[in-house]
Amino acid sequence: MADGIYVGMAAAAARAEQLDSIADNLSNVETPGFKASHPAFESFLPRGARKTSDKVATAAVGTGTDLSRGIVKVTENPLDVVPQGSAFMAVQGPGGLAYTRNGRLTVDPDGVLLAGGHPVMGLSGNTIEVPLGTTPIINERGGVTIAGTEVDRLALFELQNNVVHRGQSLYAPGPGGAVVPSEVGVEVGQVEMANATALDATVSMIGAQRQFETAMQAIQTYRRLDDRVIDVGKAR
Amino acid sequence: MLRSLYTAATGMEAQQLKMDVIANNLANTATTGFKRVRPEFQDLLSETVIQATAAGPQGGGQPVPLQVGLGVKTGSTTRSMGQGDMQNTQNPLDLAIEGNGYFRVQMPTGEIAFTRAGNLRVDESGRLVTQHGEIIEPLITLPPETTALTIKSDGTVLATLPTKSEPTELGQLHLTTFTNPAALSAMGHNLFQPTGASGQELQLRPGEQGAGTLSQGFLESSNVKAVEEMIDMISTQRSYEMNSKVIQTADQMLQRLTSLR
Repeated sequence: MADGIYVGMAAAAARAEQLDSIADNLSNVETPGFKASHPAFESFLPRGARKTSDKVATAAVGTGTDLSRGIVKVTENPLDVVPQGSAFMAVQGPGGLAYTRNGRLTVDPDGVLLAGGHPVMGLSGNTIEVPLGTTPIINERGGVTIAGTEVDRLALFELQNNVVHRGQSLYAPGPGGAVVPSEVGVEVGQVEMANATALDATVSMIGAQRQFETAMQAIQTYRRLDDRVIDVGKAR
Repeated sequence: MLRSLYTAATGMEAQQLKMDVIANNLANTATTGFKRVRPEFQDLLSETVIQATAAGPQGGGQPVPLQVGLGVKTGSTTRSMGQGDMQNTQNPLDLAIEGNGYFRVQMPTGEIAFTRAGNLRVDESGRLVTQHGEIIEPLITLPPETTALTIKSDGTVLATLPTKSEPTELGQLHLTTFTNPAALSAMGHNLFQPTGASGQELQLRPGEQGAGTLSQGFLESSNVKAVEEMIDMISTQRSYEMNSKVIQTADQMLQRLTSLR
């Protein structure tokens, strides 16, 4: 049997994987601070293949996260902020310190300032407490002012190299990744939506579908070749 | 590929819920004291297909993980607590709150609720009540012979009586603030109930600690902006369509797959 059929199978599986990621990007276009992810593909020699084999299969091996800025929506809500440039806010996520660009700030019943529902870290290294009965005001430098006095500043960081996605618009540095403090400020009264665009997703969706069909065509051709071999056997 | 079918379905569900919220906001553009609601979306935890590992001494390792996100969910619906526009009504029983406070009212069942709708009325026994007859706390009773009612910005209620030249003080209106007003639960009839997450209630005199001041003869209209809602509606519809396209594409690919045999 022609083993090229497995190359076709690997290609089809890779395209299906790509569609999964497109579906995720598209379903999150309205999620604040969401960053689109794109699977990375790599060619490989099937295990046990001869070194001279001309058949090279493909598989998804990693996920790249696109950290570019998303669409900014003006809300005029004084507690909606977007860090300038590509800086991230540090928050206490469910699994430890994480970073987010979801700048929808709220105050929890105990008076702790939250960003996207997670306690946000100040430059002081602690979470930011808001006294009862007061409303914090965020200034352009990222300072949290309560009744005219700046009590703390939002701690902002740049994420470099590898990034791991933790869900809920939270990101953390992956192996070899680094977190560098950033000196930028914030834009107030705006919120950053996802950076996945419908155009990009549609084009890659069409691409994935067509390449999937090509792979299916290849599998079918190999099947026809196999059928011919069987027919030749019958003729004898 | 089956993953993408379900992922796109979460997207469609989220957009559908957003549409329901927009419809409710638009239906309440003329409701006194209504605060617009917005759904907050969160991405679901990613499925990690291959874990990232640090490179060994010979190099190698998996520098980035292979993660596939599994769609979106609605985390919560939040009320935007922004001030609505002030509408001049000239009616002495209309009160607008300029600030964060709420009127505390007692419902016929004896339960306590909160409202920002200041279109008050006087009931048959002279008590200050809301449109729906919930009694304003603390109780203010107007003498039947009252000719004019003055409510000062600090909440002092004064009545002009035919027998006296000076207005008589009837009582003091209070406002209640919450640490996290976005967590109040709406009960309909413009009423809100505190929840575990809304935090501590503070009973204040109008003008104290951000409770806001009262404006007699004004009403706070809803803070829904029709243009914003319309734009949201367009983008919601398009996102819904895009997600349904993903389902279609995944279906076509599955169809192609099953036609192999």
